[in-house]
Amino acid sequence: MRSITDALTNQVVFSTPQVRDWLPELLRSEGKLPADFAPAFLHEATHHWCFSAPVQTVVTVLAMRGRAEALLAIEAATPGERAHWERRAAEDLIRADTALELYRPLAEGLATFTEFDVFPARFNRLLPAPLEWAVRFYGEGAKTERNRRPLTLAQLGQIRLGDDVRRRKESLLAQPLSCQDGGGYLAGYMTVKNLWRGSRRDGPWTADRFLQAAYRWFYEDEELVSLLLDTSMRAPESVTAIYRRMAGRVVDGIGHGEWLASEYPDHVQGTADGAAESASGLAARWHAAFAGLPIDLTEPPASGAAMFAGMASLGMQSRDLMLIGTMPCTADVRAGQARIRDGDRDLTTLTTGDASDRDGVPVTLSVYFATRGGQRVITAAGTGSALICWSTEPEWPSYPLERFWSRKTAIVPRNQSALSALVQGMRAYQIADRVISARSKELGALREPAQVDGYRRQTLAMVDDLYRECALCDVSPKQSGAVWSRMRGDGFYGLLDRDADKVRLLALAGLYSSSGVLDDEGTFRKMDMTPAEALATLRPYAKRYGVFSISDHITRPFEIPRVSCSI
Amino acid sequence: MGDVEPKIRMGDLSRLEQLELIDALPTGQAESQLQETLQGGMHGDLGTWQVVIEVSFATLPVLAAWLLRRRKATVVELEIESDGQGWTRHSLRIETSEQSPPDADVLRQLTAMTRIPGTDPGNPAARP
Repeated sequence: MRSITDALTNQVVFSTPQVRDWLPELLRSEGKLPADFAPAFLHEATHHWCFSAPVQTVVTVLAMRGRAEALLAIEAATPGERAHWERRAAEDLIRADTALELYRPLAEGLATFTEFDVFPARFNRLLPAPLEWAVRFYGEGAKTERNRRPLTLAQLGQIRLGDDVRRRKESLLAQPLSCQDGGGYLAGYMTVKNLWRGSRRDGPWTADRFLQAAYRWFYEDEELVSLLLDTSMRAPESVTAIYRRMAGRVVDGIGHGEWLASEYPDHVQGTADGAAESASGLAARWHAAFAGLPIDLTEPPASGAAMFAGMASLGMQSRDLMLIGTMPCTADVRAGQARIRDGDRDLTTLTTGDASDRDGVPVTLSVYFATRGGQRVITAAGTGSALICWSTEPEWPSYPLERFWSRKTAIVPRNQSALSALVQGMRAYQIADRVISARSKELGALREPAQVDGYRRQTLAMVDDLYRECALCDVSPKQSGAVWSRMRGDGFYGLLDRDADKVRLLALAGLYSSSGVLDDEGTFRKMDMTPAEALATLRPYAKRYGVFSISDHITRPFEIPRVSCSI
Repeated sequence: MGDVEPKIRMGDLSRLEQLELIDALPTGQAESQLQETLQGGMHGDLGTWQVVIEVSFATLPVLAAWLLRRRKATVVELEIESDGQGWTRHSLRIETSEQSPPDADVLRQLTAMTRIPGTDPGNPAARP
């Protein structure tokens, strides 16, 4: 099973067959995730971070509003009303889908870049959020603010040169370069690497600093946010405007490194904890977007549209909660304390709320990370996600839960209430999905929203052109056709004459290059090669096609000679 | 054997492994697919692939050689359908042996699992 993050709900599901082995370790405040889980954690944490930002928040608002409008259309009393809501639903869904598909390769590119290339540089004042969060689960002494940079280059470097990460990188390099099938992982990764490489011409941009600025450049683009919400346009004009803005951003970034400098300093002075869109910002956007809908959520839901909108707004509460892992357990509840057990094994003791004394209560034990406050949250929930017991580290403050629909901010004074709302919010999306599923036949019969598929096909063709151009920006026009033909379906496997060992070697060279490890001989010995033999194998392809570069030269002052590979 | 042609199913392959294995096998004797596809707003790490191989004298030695090269010193989980009764799970230990050539050892295990004659390179007379 793959680890996934849903761009709309921002819910993360980590897949690992060993959850039952390592989850109990996380119940201790100083407990750590296993080292080999770090790449998957960094990948999904990057998605979670980006999807919390203004651009994706607005995409989510449009997608949810579009669904509510579609439900209003099928529940309409008159043909005129139905046509009105159909048109609005189609426009919102088309815009959300266009932005989602345009950003998909970039999102995967940034996630794989964080997974394979980013490490915390010692002199940077601000860690990008995914690294900041990783420190909480990997670092020695992570509880103290002064000593929070222990996820070292050496640690990450060694993890990245291990067999698991090498296999993941090999798989990435063998993905299709085309974005039409498969999500655009390789095109996105190569685009991000080219953006980073371009930025380094203008200064010593470390990978973590670059990631921070790239996040802001793409995901905090207020002009794109305005375009997404602009009511003066309709598709196809709106689709063209969204594409031009996003494509211009990518192409400008590839061509000029100075955009990074304009983005980074602002962010240093901004949100220090890496949490992106503030709760009030999200609530405000949500209110504004839903203001024109005839739904009153202060009343019990009287229609499918009202039920959907209510559940979606409740789900919004949990967008900052990242689920790390979950496992079934039992709880023995006695006098305000619950002993959590996995079979015969005692796992932990947690404080209970209103739960009455009982033994052997089946519960789902979950460990979350609250990205906004930085808390590690442990909950045990019974049937229907009713919270039985919990703990947070550090302590959970009285948490301002936003009532999206009544437009009042309620300060919830008790941990139990606040955490219950968040945990229930995780479940609310499932209920919202069920509302949609129950009406899927009628929704499928709506004519205007059916245009989404047609626009998606057009968008994917544009996405292919855009990312192809950016991924292969250093390839000469003479070679461009040949390179595309080799890489379109099978990536570097096609480029390197369908020789899997050469792809493995390229993956290793790239990982070694970004690992910071200084052991050319030992690294390439894993493939029974000397560094010179590795260079001799890959350099002809680098020279012939210009897709990547590889050398053992010193390119900057004070560098130690070592193999350096751009991919 | 029943009417159903015997097949071997192997999952959790990376994209590179899937491409390499499909290229190595005779054309048309194997199919592959992504084990999980992502829908809608789902993003995430790279998926793994599943390959279904028709069992024959031509395919088993290729698979044995590939396993020896890419799964040395591991236990590989395979599923086999050989009698029309559905898929059954098998474990295959890939290890080098001093007594016999390692690819022959892997091939012998595969042959025993699939229960088809003619795939033992040490016994050409048994070929169909």
